[in-house]
Amino acid sequence: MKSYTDIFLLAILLLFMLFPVYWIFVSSLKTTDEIYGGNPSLIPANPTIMHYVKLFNPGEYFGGGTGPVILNSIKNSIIVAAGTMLISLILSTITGYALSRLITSGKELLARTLLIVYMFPSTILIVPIFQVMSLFKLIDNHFALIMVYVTFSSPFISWLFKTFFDAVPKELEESAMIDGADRLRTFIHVFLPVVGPGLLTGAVFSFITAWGEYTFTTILINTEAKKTVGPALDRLIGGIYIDWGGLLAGTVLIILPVIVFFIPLAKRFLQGFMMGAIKG
Amino acid sequence: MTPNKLGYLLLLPLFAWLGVVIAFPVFYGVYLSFFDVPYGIIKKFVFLENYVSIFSDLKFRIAFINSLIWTAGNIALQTAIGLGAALLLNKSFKGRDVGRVGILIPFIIPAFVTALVWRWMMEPDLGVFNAVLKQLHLIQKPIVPLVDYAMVTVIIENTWRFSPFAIIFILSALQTVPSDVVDAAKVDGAGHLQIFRHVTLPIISPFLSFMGLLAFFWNFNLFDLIWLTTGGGPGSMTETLPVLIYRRSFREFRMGEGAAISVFSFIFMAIVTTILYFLPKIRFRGGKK
Repeated sequence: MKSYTDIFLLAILLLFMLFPVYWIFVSSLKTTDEIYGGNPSLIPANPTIMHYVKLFNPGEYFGGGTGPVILNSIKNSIIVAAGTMLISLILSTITGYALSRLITSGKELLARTLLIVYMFPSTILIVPIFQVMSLFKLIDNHFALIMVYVTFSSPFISWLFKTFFDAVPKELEESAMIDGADRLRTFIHVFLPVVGPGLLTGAVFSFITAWGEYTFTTILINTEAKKTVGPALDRLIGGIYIDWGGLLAGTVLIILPVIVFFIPLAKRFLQGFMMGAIKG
Repeated sequence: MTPNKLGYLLLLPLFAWLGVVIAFPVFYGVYLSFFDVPYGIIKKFVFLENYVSIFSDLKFRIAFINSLIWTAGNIALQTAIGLGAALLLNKSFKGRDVGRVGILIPFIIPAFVTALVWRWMMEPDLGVFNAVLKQLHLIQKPIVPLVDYAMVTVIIENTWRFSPFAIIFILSALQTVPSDVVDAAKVDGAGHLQIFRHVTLPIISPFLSFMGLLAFFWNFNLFDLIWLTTGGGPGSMTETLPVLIYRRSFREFRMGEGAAISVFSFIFMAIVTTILYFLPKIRFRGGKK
């Protein structure tokens, strides 16, 4: 009997969390008449892929030909997100390891300093970052985005990894060292296997952070061919007129890859996250 | 080389990285706040004039109050949902694993998509929200949530997006509660509420306070979702400090003032953080000695 209450509560929770996403999918499959007819129904009356077709039809009056732009932006976002992920993982692993195992003085202060990064409003950073990137000739370069996104994902991931490393028993490390393994080999053979599942969590976190970022990518990238997913949809919003059908179809194109990428990893992502808390 | 020194050496790459992308821009921002910077061109040194003008600006005061409401509302709602959902998902029952995956979905939806779908759902004539209310005979004529209840709507929207993080964070914390202690409390006849208050809460409270700190930073500084949903409007109803900074710097091109507001906002956060998180620890340690 009690378990029914739990299932009921879970159903309400999931309704809140999943309905908006369901609504994007469903609405994108409705005819224009149905979209603008009011009285929206939970299931499309006449399911259609007309909005998707329109996106890929260059002759269409409004929003036509946006499809290839979106696909190209997905490719760009994957490049940027993958780059961010790789660099964040490397930096965060060594930072987490150093904070957990090597540094003895000023450890807490340093760990906290990292989190100060989140104290600055991103809006204050836009102008100076633009100028730094101009100085490095990185405007319109995907690496500029990677530099910014690594900054936002690494402090949190480093903190997460530090807690993973904290969980490795000291005896395990010591016995490996006594067996003659040097620090690097101990790191590879003792620590990396332990944080393995956690690496996935950090990877997903940084990928997601980079994937859908909007503010910096609109400022740092100008060329259409280099745009990431955020600004790709902008051309579907023309002043006061919004082509909801096209916009929602475009949105589906953008979120589908991440959802497909994420679902199979979700369980392990969560396990990694929970593992990090074991020793807090 | 001692481990300590090696450790500092290994910290160098990340700190250097943060130095270029964060520290320099921040100092540059502070520098700009003392200048008149129309259209991004540093014109003349005005010392505190930008600060004087923002403090006498009604818009700034409104944005500051909005920021307080926004941050408090978000943290309260996210903690409530996070705690409730995490306690639920920590039990073992059928469907729990599906639920754990399901609640993560909003986390992977980009902010601009979130803004879009909430605007779509809240559309007065075409949106599902009004349709449901009409179906339930709760309203006669359509309401416009993003105008009539803009702040509340955007807070709920942001909570939707941030909750997965709060839930998994608290869920992780709950894993650290030893089950034998809970069982012992049960044997002693403690009820659910008592166990939560006297066993669970003390154990997870360090996690909660850490999460609260991150939530404070992330919510207070949140920009994209508000900007893309309401643009700070209607009027100034959802204009928080980051939105005002953006408007001053990139819509009105008064970058000196924008920088001054940023500096104020950072100082404010630093003070709140110190009061809430650093002072209690010092006192606690002092008491121990």
